[in-house]
Amino acid sequence: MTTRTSTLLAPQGRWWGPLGKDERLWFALVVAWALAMYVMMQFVWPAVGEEQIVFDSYKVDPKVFQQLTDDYIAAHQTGTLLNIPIVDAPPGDVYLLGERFRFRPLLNLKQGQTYRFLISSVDVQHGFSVQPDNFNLQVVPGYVTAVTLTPKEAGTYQIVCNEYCGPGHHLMLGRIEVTP
Amino acid sequence: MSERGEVADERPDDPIPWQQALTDDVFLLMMAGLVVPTLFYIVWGLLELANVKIFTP
Repeated sequence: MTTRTSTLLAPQGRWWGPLGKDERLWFALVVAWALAMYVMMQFVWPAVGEEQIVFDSYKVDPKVFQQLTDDYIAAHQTGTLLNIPIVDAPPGDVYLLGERFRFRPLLNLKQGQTYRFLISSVDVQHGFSVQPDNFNLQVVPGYVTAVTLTPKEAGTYQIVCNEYCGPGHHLMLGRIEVTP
Repeated sequence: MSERGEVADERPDDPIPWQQALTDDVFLLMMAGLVVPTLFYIVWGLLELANVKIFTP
């Protein structure tokens, strides 16, 4: 019989054995619970809940995305604020570019209309956080984050960069104006 | 006596199972600690990134 005089010493001989009944039960419970959580997070909450954000990711050349954003701004610009273009966005695709240390363009949206936000960065990783709603996405250079949104309430929403991007990070804001 | 103890006593001449060999050797354990996260975090992540579609406006 294997005897151990200290828990710090390696046991001698062949000590490994198959799992006992209680261990098998706990293992089965853990696996079942993990599977249940996976199904809830992957399939159930995205379908029935409003908390979990459903988005797509695509690869893109940052310069191409910058050009697409410039074209979008040129087509729909209605003004500027602090040298940042303001755009009256028609329903459909909305281009939003994160760059140190601003989001452009500033967006005017209509309540109840559906928009597909196409968000990317030209330099470093930024965050896209809509305030006062609790809505957060990563903005990664080289990738487009596409998310479909339908503003339900009119008002002014701020976009805050919540991923540290450099010395002006705390000044990096955007704006979404939703009108009835 | 536990179930484990009984098994160990009944078959003292059996070869050491791989689970015991792994657990008894700290360097094998360290290798497992490097290989498993590499596969599940890095390789899996790279595969996911490789499968991201190209953006078309």
